[in-house]
Amino acid sequence: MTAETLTEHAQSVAVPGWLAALCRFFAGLGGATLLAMMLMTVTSVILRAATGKPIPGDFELVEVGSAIAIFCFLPWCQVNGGNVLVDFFTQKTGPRVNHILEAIGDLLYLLIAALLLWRLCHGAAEMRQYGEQTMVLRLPIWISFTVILPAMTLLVATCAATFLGHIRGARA
Amino acid sequence: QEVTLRVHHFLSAEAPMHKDVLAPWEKLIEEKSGGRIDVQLFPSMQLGGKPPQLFDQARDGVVDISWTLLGYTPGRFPISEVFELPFLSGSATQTTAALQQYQAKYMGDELKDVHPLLIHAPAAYKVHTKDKPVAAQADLGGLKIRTPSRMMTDGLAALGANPIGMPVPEIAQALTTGVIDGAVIPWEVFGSLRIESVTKDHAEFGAENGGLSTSVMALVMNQAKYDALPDDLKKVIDENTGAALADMAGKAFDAAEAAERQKAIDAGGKITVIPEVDLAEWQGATQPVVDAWVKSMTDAGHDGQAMLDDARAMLAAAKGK
Amino acid sequence: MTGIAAGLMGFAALLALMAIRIPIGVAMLSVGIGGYALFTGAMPLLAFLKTSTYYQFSTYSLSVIPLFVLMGEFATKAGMSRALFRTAAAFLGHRKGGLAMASIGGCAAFGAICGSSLATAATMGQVALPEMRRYNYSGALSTGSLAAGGTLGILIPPSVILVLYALMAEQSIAKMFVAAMIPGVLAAIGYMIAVAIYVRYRPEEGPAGPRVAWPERIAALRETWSIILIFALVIVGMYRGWFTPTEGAAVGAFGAGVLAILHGGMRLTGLMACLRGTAQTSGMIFLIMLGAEMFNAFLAQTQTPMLAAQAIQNMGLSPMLVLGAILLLYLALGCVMDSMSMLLLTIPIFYPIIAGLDFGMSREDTLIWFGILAVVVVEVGLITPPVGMNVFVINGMAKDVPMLESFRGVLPFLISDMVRIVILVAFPVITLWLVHLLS
Ligand code: NA
Ligand code: NA
Repeated sequence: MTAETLTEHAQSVAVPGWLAALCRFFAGLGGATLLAMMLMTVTSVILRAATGKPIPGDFELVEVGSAIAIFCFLPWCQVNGGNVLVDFFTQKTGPRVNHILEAIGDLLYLLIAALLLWRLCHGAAEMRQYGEQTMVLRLPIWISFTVILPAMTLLVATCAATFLGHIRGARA
Repeated sequence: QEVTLRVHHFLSAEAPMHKDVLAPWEKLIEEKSGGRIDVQLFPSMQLGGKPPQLFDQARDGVVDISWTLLGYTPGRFPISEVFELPFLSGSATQTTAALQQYQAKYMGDELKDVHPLLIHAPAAYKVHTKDKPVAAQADLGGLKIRTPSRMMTDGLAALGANPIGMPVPEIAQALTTGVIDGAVIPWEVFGSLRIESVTKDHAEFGAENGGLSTSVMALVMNQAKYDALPDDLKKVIDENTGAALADMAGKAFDAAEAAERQKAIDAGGKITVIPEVDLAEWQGATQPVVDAWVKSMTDAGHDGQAMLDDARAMLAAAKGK
Repeated sequence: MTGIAAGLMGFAALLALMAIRIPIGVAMLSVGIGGYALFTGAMPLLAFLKTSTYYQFSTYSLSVIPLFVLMGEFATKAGMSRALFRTAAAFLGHRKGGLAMASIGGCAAFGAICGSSLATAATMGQVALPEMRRYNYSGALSTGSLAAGGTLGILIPPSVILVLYALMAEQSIAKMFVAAMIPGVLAAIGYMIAVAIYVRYRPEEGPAGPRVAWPERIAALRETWSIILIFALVIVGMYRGWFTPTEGAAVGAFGAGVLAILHGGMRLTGLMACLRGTAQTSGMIFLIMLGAEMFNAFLAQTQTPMLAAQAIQNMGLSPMLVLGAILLLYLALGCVMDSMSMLLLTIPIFYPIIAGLDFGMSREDTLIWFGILAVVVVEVGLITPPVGMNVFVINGMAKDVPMLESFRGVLPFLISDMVRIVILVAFPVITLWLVHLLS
């Protein structure tokens, strides 16, 4: 499935190489987390069937892992213009107008991502302060934020980069 | 209306808590305030978020009032966890009555960020199993049992079971599919899970023996919202919460407990009551969990032993009534 | 401002933002956050956002989605589409339009391991399109059958959309999957009948290929056993008692991954490509889900869904009329909108309405039946003009076929869809029979 066949996506724009590489790294990190989650779950299922003793806390590990993975996926999806949009009403408006419209979309996403990052910092601090933990393994929940907050920061940077890219695209 | 109170919780509108406690309370408050307070109930997390967020939603004013289980944020309310300890609970009415005193004496600090309307508990939890009846402690050995709380995770492990943590909505499917062999829940939850055809064996510990465990539930209001009420409306809230509401909640939960228990018996369920003489063995096995709680409280600067003794005494007094 | 007015304005703003190329998830988040702040206040909003993103992404039951997406990525890498198409072509290729029928059969089988419609259309297209063109199939028939066949990916379990519906309407994922099986098989058969009728009138568009001897057919069949095994393991295991849907998805993804290594020759670079593909698709899905959560939280504050449900119940319309109106609305929305966002946006509003109507069956049966109908109708939107994602994907692969030609080719399948929808509405038993049989 190549990107150019999907019309319901943003037009592609260039972003700085280091940023693209970071997004790629975080996508890989999230993917590795998902893979680990998959292997842990399969092992737990097999252990449960064979010995009646699944991996302790397998459910909560899936919850923590899935949060880490998905936060890591967001910048990669954005840098590739992978977030679906409706292009039916803007098929004839031309690339320049569409770049401007997509720049508006990226600006909105930038503001929202920055807002979420700001709020998540507070949420993580409270979870740490209150000592919230998982039920079986008693893992402190705030630890997963050591990955989640950098991923959200990267999302903010990526939105800024694609926003500037669309502005440049509209000028060209 | 002068004031709108939005009440948020995670149960469905069919649950006893919604139907038999919150809905009558809505009517009561609206009536007693002469229509000046409008209570709006939002079941099923309609206002957004997940159950662990409910307490903070009321604290932060995202909603005006929320109802939740304090154990949904494990580690956050350790003082209230005394009633999660093994064999320290009774019927809903009894534990709820004990909780009123325990709350007043010990829980002020944990609940200082909100205005508590009701701290209560469901009836004591039972062990419901799928294929293997539990008649003695040894029967639990190696069984995969869904744990309801942080304390019971250790409690079940001490009893020889494999505690499995999972969200309540997963229980029904996990039981049918053998992901778990059983669950520690009160009968009342059968109303929404409909698992009486899956779990046929039920071990009860008898309320008078101190049922296996329970959870502490809380209906809490945003402090600023409460403070901003005119005095006469504050009075309406005060007079229809706390002990007054505790009585209603306790009765509703016990009634639901009895009704669901009867339904399960009608569906062919077999109930084993663990005899009192055997309970010493169970309690001995789980004593380390109780000791660990006392120690963690003492380490945190409280008098853990006094809190435990008080909780026991308050429960005993409630049972004596 | 009254709640209803705020809710309607929110909807209008959402549609306006979506019309001007704002990504759907971002549009929902913008209106949801803005509406929430205006209607409820900024402080509650800021408090709500402290942990809501975290908990939305760390929900156990939602973790099934990235795992099914990963399973589809591995299935593609394993070259399963090739084996499936070859097998189907060995049995059907000698008939008129046989390769088009084989494409549909291949899509149905691939849909049994892949939860996404686009991925099904795209991967089967890579294999089947060149074959059909080689045997002089017309552009219309070859692209039309693949675009339509791709929609089977959603209907035949596992399916990401069915998972989403089950979670929103509080139904069992396993039961939704079982309920979709017969409608899914019916869809495949209906599409094949559409091909047969089509080539009857235009035989030159789908000429018969060479007949394949039985020993070769058996050999082809043998190549597909691994896929059947994985499908059986996931679906049967989920329903019969070995694991939860998330665990089933993990086992399925693991199995497909092993096949990708053994049959598809997947190495580290291939694995990383699969993971990044999963990242892109899952990121897209979860951004929309986050947006829908925020938008729905705002709508609930305005009480719009509850008041709308009450209003419809008070109108005393016949249940079938309400159902028909909802399905027609889906068909209309499907012409311009992405299927998943459509369901995420509307199910929280429609399912209480449907659950409150009396169709002469239990609430659970009604919701399962409605879910299948909604998914079937939404899936039709993937091949209706002017925005038909599957048609775009397949047409993009067949560089020499004009878009209009592809939409013409899809027409017989659309007719088949309409017939099937009427049948499924008229006979709920088709959807519910297997669910009752197995429970
Ligand atoms: Na599928
Ligand atoms: Na369409």
